[in-house]
Amino acid sequence: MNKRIVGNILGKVLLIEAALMLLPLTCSALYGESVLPFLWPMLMLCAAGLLLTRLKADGDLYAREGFVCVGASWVLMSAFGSLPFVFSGDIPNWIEAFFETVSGFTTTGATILPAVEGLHRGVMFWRLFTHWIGGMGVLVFIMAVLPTSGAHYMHIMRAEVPGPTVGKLAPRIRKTARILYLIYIALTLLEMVLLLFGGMSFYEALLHAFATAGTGGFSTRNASIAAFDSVYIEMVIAVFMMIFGVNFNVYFLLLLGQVRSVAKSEELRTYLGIVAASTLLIAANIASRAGGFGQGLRYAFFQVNTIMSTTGFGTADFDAWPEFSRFLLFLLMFVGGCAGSTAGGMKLSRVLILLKSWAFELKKLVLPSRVRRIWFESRPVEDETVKSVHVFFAAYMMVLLLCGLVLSLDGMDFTTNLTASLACISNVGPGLSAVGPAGNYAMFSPLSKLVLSLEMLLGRLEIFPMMYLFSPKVWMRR
Amino acid sequence: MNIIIAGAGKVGYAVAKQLVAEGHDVTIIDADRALLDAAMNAMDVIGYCGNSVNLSVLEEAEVRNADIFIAATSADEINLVSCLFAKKLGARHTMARIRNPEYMDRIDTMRELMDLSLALNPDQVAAEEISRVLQFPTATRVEVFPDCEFEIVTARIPPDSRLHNVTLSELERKFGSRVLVCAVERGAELIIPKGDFVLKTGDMVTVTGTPHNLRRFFTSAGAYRKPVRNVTVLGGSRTAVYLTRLLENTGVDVTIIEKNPERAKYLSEILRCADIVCVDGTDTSALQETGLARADGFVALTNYDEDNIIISMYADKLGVEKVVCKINNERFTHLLEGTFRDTAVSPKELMAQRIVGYVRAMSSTAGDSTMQALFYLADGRVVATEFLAGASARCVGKELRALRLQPGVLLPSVTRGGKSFIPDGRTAIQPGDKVVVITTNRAIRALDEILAED
Repeated sequence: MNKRIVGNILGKVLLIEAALMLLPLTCSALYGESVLPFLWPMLMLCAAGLLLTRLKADGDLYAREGFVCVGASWVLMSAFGSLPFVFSGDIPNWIEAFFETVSGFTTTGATILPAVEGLHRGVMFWRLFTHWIGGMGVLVFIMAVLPTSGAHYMHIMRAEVPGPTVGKLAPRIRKTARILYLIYIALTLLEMVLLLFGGMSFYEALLHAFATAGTGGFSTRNASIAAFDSVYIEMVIAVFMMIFGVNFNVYFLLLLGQVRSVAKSEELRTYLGIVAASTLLIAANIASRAGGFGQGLRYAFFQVNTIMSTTGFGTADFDAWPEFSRFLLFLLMFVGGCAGSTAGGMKLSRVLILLKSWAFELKKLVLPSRVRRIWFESRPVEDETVKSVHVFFAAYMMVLLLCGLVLSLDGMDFTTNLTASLACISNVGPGLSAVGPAGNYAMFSPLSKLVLSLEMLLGRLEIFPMMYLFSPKVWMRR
Repeated sequence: MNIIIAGAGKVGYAVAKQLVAEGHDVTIIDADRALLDAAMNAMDVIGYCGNSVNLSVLEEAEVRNADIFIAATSADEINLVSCLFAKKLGARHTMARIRNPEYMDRIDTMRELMDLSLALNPDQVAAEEISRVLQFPTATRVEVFPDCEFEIVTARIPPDSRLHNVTLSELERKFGSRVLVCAVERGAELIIPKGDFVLKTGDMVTVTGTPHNLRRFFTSAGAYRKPVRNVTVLGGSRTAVYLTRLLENTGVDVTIIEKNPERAKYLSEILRCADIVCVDGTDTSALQETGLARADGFVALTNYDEDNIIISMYADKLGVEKVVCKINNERFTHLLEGTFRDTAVSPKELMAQRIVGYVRAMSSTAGDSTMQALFYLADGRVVATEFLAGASARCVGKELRALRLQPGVLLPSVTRGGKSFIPDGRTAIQPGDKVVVITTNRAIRALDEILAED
């Protein structure tokens, strides 16, 4: 493996992280808090970053280096990113701070804090800002801003951008990355403005826009979005959660005016269909307890979007809802958003390909001589893609269940263990039972917290880059 | 510029690689998913899988925004039709690779009808290159700039040469040849020499000058060899046909060895003067019988690299002075350090160079100095570019010694009013001059890029 080029890119990542910390630092300064919790980590990041970027970035970057780059950069970023929590004294325990930061960068939104309203303003800014950074990915950001000459950076893009197949929007990776970030920034600003109209303060509007854009789910309030008690704010956030759960290619096509091809998108139509159907079903199911179908719709629409887009904001304690609604939300946690969005989960396109390949195999059993391909988005799917989807599904379930087994050591009930594991690998945040919207992850043992952190990273990077990072082959000298 | 290349085969790949490196946005269309994936993994390009004649594929690749559409698939008809469609859909320029000799006869009319900017035939490109090398057998490569008397010649300084240990500044005084040494390859090293550079035997030198001066230079080097008069061509391919026609025009005797009787008969019907011999080229006694030992030139043009290499070695051993060997897969040619490695010709590589040169000429109108031609020398490490100087260029109208030039830039020739000369410090470039610029490792797009940045 070409360790120098990996080191060089990691160095750049750390320098970018140092630069990004300028924003929470400014926030701290504006609110008259100590800037030291950010200053020290920034100095450490700069020192480490400058040291690493001294490595010559010559030679080629192949899939292997791309995987290691992406995996290692997320671990390092989280490790350094947890320092402000520790230094400010808001989360003194480093493992808990690491969990919180990983949860931020991976846009999970699972928290170990029972109450968040006492945090320093700057630290709170950083906590929600990590969602925004992690949503689109730092390496994609690097590709957008730094002049990268290497052709092989596609391997990095592939490892960091979610979805079974990753395509470019423009011939140049750099341009593709820029288009993605421009859409991301524009939508974030739009949401912030709309939230300001709802009467939120600038600080909270900006932070909630960050958290929605990355489909993260951290909030500045203990009661999450319910604290604002405003139908307008709930609807704005719900709609934007839905928007950020959609493949960004859709917005690019819309910008190009290709409305027709957007309308034909199978994944988009299914996504909207599932949201609509689940909302109606849950609304009907909870109507009696929510005080009418209308109120039911309000809570159901928000909760369905928060789970489907794997955000994790809350306006209602869905853990207290009837079993049917709980189970339906549990299923949506698996699915997640569309490929190429900032959402987590298995991704809708994978689920669709899976379902289609099952139907396909069934037909093949009945008529073995049948020659046909699986079709998705009006084109035949490559056999390689179908295979990779199957492998991904198996790996996803395996990780989910094995991590659940480790959690069970802590003596919590089955639902808690299973949904905690699922909520972390799917980057949702809240699960059911003890980790439901009203609960948090504080009661887990340090080991479980590390396992859950790993699971969040596995989920965000779609398993294989992280798995490769921890395979002994990478670290053995050849 | 926005460039679409149809066909990710060897030519398409090589063209794409070069164009991406030069900062163009490149889109590739190919029906073969594996080829496309390989290209997309190795280069910063976007790929579309499909037939380039398919209108939906062309639209998906956004051909309407393309500045140049290059059709380099292996099928002429696909190339022609896709170029036609691309043009109608809004591509500004189209280029096609055309191979069938039937089409080549009327290629100019066809270009007009189809509105093609360029139609290139790989066989013809190879034939032209080979014929130039045969006319100047000293050289391993000869390039000619359009409307300019100067040629660029690459050749090796032979053992026992009088040029051994001669510094470049003494060249003109000692040997009376006004030439400029642009680049020297010594082992794996590439040097852009200055006046105090000392030549050694075994150096591969790239020299520019008028043909007359070049001949004097290489005569004094002891490397000059007379143009080939009697050539044996192995393999009656299309390239052989074009080459024979080119050579016959200059009065060279050509013998073609072709194994297949049908093909040999066909060749005899389309080529009037050449001797066609129907024997197996791998049969040494049959080769001897054709009089190979008496020939002073040998060109191996079969479809098999291995045959070409082995029989070229044989011809070399027989004492044929100039041996040219066609090699399709040039990846291993560096293993062939030896006489005819120097004159291995790769048609695909040549095609790619010609196309890239044309694209550059089209894309470079910056500072109204237009690029006229571009050649890659010394395995692509040296670039020779010819510009037509425009009035607004910053380097125009000032004496060269007053300009601060980039290090490693050479100006070997200026052509003014049909006369070419080697510029010196007192020369001032004037509008309308044709200036040749030599650079290492990077190509320049505008004449003003020779100036050092302030």
